[in-house]
Amino acid sequence: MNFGYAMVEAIRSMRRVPLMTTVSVGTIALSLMVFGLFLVVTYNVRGALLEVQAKVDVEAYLEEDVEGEALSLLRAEIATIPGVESVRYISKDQARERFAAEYGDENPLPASLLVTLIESQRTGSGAETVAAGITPMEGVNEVVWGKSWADRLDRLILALTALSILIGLVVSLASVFVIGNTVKLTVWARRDAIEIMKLVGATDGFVKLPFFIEGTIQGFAGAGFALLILFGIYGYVQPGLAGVVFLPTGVCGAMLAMGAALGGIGSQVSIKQFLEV
Amino acid sequence: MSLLQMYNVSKRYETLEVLNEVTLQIDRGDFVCLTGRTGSGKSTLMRLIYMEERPTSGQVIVEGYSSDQIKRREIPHLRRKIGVLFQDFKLLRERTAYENVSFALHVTGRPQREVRKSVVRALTKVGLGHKRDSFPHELSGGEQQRVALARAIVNEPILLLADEPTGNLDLEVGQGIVDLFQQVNYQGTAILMATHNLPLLENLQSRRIHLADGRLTGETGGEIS
Ligand SMILES: Nc1ncnc2c1ncn2[C@@H]1O[C@H](COP(=O)(O)OP(=O)(O)OP(=O)(O)O)[C@@H](O)[C@H]1O
Ligand SMILES: [Mg+2]
Repeated sequence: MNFGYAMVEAIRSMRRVPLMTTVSVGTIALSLMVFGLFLVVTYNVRGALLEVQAKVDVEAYLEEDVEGEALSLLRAEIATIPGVESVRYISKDQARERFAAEYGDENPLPASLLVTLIESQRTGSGAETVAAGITPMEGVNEVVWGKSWADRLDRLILALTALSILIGLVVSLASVFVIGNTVKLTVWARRDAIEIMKLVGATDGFVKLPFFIEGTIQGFAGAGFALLILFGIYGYVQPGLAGVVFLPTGVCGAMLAMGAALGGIGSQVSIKQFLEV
Repeated sequence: MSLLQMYNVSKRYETLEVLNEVTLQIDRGDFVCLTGRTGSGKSTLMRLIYMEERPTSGQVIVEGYSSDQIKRREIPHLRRKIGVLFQDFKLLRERTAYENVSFALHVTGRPQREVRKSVVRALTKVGLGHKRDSFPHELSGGEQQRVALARAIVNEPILLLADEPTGNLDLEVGQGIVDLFQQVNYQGTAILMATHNLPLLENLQSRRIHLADGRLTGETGGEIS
């Protein structure tokens, strides 16, 4: 199949309906931009949440006078609990330093073991399991862990991810629809050419190819513009929002690929209806 | 073997019976003129041959492709062996004469290097070598039909179907087109021309067939009477 010729035909076809093509690319750019904007927000919020989640830990307050060998044994024992990454000792003095501002001179704070969890265990239930393992141990007075907010974080991240997927789906459908409609228009504008192609013996594949290329180009261009606009917005607001990062290159590439794929699909949906009549 | 055979072909649109048990055979090198009044089914017969339509009953066989067996994806390959010409030329407005003709080759996947030579040869055959860069609106009706003819023969078809090719042209210009058909015919392409234009047929050596009331009369070719 003569790909070069199909490419020339695709460009010729878009130039026949420049306004519609512009509107189409613009609409796709806009909807993908909304999607991208949401991705940036999700990505950053998720990053922030993960950072907070990294602090989901378990603190075991010790009884008085747990020192020396007893302390080492306890530390070693805690370290064997599945899901524990490391165990750090915080002495009474260190504890006082941590809270000196609030508590003044006396020191009601006990010494404690700060238990860091391995990453996969940094959830409400993960912390609970580990805490339950520590509670009955000799020398442990009380075990605390941030049950409620750790659970809420889990749910927030889940909700954000679900919302991203939902918005992605809506945007995908909208893009297929918009590109499909534009390509339908160019199919209509080129119905004479299609009629002749079929008369002189062009295969269905060859008749469709230029429209497929056209849809793909529109989707790709739309995604490209969306990323450019997003990056522009990012450059504008970023100085005011320290720590906010742009989408990683991989995600940008995926968005371009997604635009191209949506365009290709959209074009095939519309030309299929036309060819079968 | 003949290149076209129609056996007891009937074509019905809902209740309207357009063709009724039509049998026709066309051999290599034949020149066949098909007459019949408006609505008698001439265009329908043509569409059955390039398999734009399938018969309601009966069988159409073109170059070994049979209407009741051909697959959808084989139809393009059949059409590459048939040139088609219409009353309204069907040229693409925004393309030059050259581009209109080369279009037929490009979209059937001919390699670039073969295209140029074939197009120039076809345009020269119809006497329009010098107008290859003209757009349809810069050409007369007769010239436009000659570009369409160049497009129809550029694939070197075995059969040329011309449906009322002179309908939009005056007698003299139409005569020029028919003269070109004869040249194409001499080079081995069979021709089936449907026309109302009886004066055009006066000096033409050809087989004559006539459609009326769904029946094909006249000399239908082969051993069938
Ligand atoms: N797709 C179709 N659906 C229904 N009826 C049709 C269709 N195509 C053709 N007909 C009918 O079939 C009859 C034959 O039409 P056809 O075009 O073959 O005639 P024709 O001999 O070519 O006429 P003309 O000389 O005017 O071109 C007409 O009555 C027409 O209305
Ligand atoms: Mg007709």
